[in-house]
Amino acid sequence: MSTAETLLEVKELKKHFPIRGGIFGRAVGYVYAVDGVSFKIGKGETMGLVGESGCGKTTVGRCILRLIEPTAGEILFEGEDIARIDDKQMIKLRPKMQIVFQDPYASLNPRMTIKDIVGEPMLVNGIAKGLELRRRVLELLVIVGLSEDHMNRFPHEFSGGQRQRIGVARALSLNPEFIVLDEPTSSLDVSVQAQTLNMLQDLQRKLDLTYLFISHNLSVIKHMSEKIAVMYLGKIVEIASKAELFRSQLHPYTQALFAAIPIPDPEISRERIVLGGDVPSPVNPPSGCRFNPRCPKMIPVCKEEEPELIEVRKGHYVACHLVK
Amino acid sequence: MSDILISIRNLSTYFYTYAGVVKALEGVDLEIYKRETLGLVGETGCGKSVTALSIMQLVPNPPGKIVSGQILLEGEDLLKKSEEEMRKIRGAKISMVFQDPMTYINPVLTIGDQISEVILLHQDLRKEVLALKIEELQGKLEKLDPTSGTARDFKSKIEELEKKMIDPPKPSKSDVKKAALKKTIETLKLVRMPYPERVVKQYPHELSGGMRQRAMIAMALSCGPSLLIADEATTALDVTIQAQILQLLNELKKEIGASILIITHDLGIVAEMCDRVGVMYAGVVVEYTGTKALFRKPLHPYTQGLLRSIPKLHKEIERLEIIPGSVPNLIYPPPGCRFHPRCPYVMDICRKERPPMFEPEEGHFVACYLYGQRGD
Amino acid sequence: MAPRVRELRFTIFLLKQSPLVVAGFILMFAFIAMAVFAPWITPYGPEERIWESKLQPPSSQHIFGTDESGGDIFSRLIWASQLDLAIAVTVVGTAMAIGSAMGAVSGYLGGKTDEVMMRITDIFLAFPALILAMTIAAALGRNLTNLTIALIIVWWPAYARLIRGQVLSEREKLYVEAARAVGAPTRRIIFRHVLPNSIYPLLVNATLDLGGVILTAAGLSFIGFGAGAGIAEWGRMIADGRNYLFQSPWMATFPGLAILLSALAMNLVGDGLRDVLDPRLRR
Repeated sequence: MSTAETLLEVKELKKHFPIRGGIFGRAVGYVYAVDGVSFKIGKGETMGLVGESGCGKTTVGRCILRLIEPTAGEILFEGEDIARIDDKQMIKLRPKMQIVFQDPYASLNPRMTIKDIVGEPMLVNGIAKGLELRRRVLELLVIVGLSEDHMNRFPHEFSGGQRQRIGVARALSLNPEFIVLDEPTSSLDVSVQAQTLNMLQDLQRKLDLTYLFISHNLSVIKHMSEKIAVMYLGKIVEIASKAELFRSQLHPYTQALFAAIPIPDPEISRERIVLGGDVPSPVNPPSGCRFNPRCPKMIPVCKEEEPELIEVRKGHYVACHLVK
Repeated sequence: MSDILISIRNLSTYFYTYAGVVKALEGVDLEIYKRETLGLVGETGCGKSVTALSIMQLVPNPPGKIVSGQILLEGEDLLKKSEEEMRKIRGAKISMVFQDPMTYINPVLTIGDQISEVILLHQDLRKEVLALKIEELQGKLEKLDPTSGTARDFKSKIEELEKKMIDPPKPSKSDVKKAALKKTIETLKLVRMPYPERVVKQYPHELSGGMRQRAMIAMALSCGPSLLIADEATTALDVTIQAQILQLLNELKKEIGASILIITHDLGIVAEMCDRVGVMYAGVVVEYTGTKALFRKPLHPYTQGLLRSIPKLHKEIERLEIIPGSVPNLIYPPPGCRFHPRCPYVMDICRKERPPMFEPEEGHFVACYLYGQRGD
Repeated sequence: MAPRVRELRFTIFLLKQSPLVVAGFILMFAFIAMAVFAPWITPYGPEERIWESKLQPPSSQHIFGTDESGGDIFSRLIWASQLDLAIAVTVVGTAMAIGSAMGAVSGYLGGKTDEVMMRITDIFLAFPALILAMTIAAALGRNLTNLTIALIIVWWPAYARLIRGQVLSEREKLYVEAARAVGAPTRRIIFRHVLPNSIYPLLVNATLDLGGVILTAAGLSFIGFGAGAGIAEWGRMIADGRNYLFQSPWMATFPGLAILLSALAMNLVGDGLRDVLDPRLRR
C-alpha cells in the first residue's frame, strides 16, 4: 500500500438508473448499478477495478468523472467533494481528470481528422488554437508513438491499437492528473495489447499519472495495478494490494473468478470452482449478500444480512459473513 | 491413418476486394483426428475463422473464393461437393457454434423451433415417430385393467406397430414435429440446460448469454456430428460463464465422441481444452503440435513472442515483451516467410522462400528455417 | 486531403456497379446541364411568341412543336428546367437546413424541448401535404416564390423527424461521451459531432425528394397555384396543353416527359446513394 497522499476517495457511491414505464414515464423500478462503493486511490497509484458484466465498474468510472450523475455518495478529488458541484465548477476541474474508452472504433468521431480530435480538448477549454494547437497536437502524437502524417487522416484509416493511442493522446492533452482507463485493451489483439499496456506504464512514470484501471480481465489488471478491487452486482466484495490478493483470495466470488480464468500453461492444475447459475441482473438484486444464490459456501445469514466491507488484515478488505 | 477425421491440404482462400486480393489463407495444412480437440489459435486476421468457414464452405462468395487445396472428410474431398451435398453435411456431420449468440440466433423463433428445424432437416424420424406412438399407447395401457377388452385392443395395436418398425410408414407432419421436439429436449438435457421443457418454448431474448450459447451447442450437437467447430464460442461471455461452457465442452467430449475444433485467440483456453494446437499467423500455420509441447517448448519465433507478450495470472512479469512491427497487409504479404519482417532470427532465406513444415521433434511441426533446410 | 479523394473514388466505384444508378446520374447531369446552358442551347426565348406558327406539330423548325400562342415547346421546356430545378433545390435545401437544425437540437436535448418540437411537427404532418401547400400558396398569393415558400413549410417537418431519429441513436455513442468528457459545450456537440454523423440518411431522402418536389410543384402549378398562365414551367405547360390534348398532344406530352424523366433520375440517384452509403459504414 502506498503511503502517498490520497488523490481520489469515493465514499458510498451509488447510482440507481430509473426504469421508466407507464404513460407518464414514472419510475417503475431501478437498476441498482452501483450500490454503495468506497475506495481510495493514492497519487501515482494504479487501482484496478475488476468484475463481470453488470457489476457496475464502468458506471463507477463514469460517475467519478461526472459523465453520469451519481445518485448518492461522495467523490473526494484532492480533498474536495465533487459529487454535486455545478457544471461551471466541473468544467474547471475536467482538465484534471480524463478518460480513455474501451472501444477505440466508437470513441473517435468518424468524421473528424486526428488533428481535430486530439486538439478538441485544448480548443474548447481555450488553451490553444491555430498554429499553437497544431504544435501541441503533434507533441502529443509523438508521445504516444504516432507521427505528423497521421494528423490529417480519419479514424477508419487506423488499426485498433493506433486508434487507442489516439484516444490516449486526447486524454493527455489537458495534462490531467487522473485518468480512468475503461477497458482500454479489451478490444485489442494480444500483441497490440502488450504495446498499449507498456505505453500506459511508461506514461504513468513520465507524467506522474494516477490510474483507475477498469477491466474484466484479471491478468491484465494484475499486470497493471498496485491495488485491486473486485466488484459484484454493484458492490465491492474485496479490496487488497495485488500481492496480498494473489496470495490469498478471501471472498468466494474472488476465488471463483481466479479459478475461472484459463491459464496459458497446461502443466498447472487448479482447484476447479465453476459457479452455477448466471450473472444476475442489477434490477432485482438478491436480498442479503448479493452473491448468495451462486455462492458455494453460503450459510443462512447470507440470505438475510448484507455483509459489510471490513478490514480483516492490513489493507485487505472483504465483505463476507464467513470472513471476520 | 483411419484415425484422421479431416485432412486439410494446401488450402488457399482469397478475397477479391476493391483494394486488391486479400490472401487470407495460403497453403494451410492441418489434420483433425477423431475424438480429439484441436485448437486453432492466432490473432485477428490470421485466418483461423476463414479456415473454419472454408471447411464448411461458408466463405462469402463474392468476394471470397477457395482457390486451391483439398479438405478430406473421411476420404472425400468436401471442396468437390455440390451445394446440395454440402447442405446435408452442415449441421449433421459438421456443425458450428459462433461467437455472439445474440447476433446469430433468430430472435423471432423459439429455441425449440430452431433446434427442431435442424433435426427435421437432417434426420429421418420415422422410427422415432413410431416409437413415440408405441410409448403413448403403452402409457395408456398401464392405466387400464389388463383383462379388459380395451386393454387387449391396445396390446394388439402395440404389437402391430412394433412389427412396422422394420420399415416404418411415412409419418404425418405433426407427428414428425412431436418426435423432433422430443429429440430437442433430449439434446438440451445433454447440454445440462436447466428446465429444458420450459426453454423450448422460450425466445432467445428470454435467456441469458450463457444459456443461449448452451442452446446453440445443443443445436450443433442435435444431429450427432463428427466435428463441432467452436469459433470464439466463449469470447462474448463473462469469465464465470465461460468456465461453465468450457467445462460443458470438456464433459461432452467424452460423451459424444465428436472431434472439436476450437478457434480462439486465448492461449489459456487452448491450454485447458485442447489436445493439439495449430498456431496461425497471417494466413499460414506456423506451428502445430501437442498442447503440452507447445507451451513447454514453443519453437516458432512468433509463438515464443506471443507467449511472452501475454500477462500471466500465475507469474509475475515486470514488463510485457512485444513483437515489434505489426500484422502484414494480406493484399501484399511479405515474400518468403510471412513473419520474417518481425522475426528476431531472420535469415536471408526467410526473405525469399516460404518455409515448409519441418518436424524437428516427433509430432511437433514448425514452419521455420531455424529447424531445417529446404529439401529436408 | 488525399484521404477524402480516395473516399470519393471508392464511392464512384461502388456507384458504377449498378447500370440503373449510372443511368440516373447521367440523366441528372443532363438535366442540370440543360438548365445551366439554357441560354445557349435554346433557339427561342421563354416568352417568345410566333403567332403565325401556333399549334404546329414537331418539325425541323420547332423540334417539339409549338403551343397555342406560338411559343416553341422545346425552348420553353429547357427554360422551364431552370425554374423547376431551382425550386427543387431551394425547397429541399432550405427544408433540410431548417429541419436538421430543429431536429438535432430537439433530439439531443430531449425532455420538454423535444416534446414541444415533436408536437409542432405533428401539427404540420397532420395536414395532407398538397392541401397544406395549396392553402399557404393561396393565402400568400399564387406565384412561384410563394409556392416555394409553401413547399418549404410543408417539407421541413419530415426532415426534422428524420434527423431527430438519427440523433437519438448518435447521442448515445461513445465519441459524443468523449466530447463531453473533454468539456465541449452542448452547442458544439450538437453541431460539430452529432449532426454531421446523422446526416447520411437525410442525403438519400433529399435526393429522392428533389424528384418529389418537382412532381409536387408541377402538380400545384397544374392546378393553378404556382406559375401563372404563360410562364415556362413544366406543370404550367401541361395545364396549358390540357385543353389541346387531342389536337396538339405535343404541348402536354413533352413537359410531362420532362417531369417523368427528371423525377426518375433523382429517384435512381437517391437509390444509388442509399445502397452506397449504407454498407460502406460497415468498415
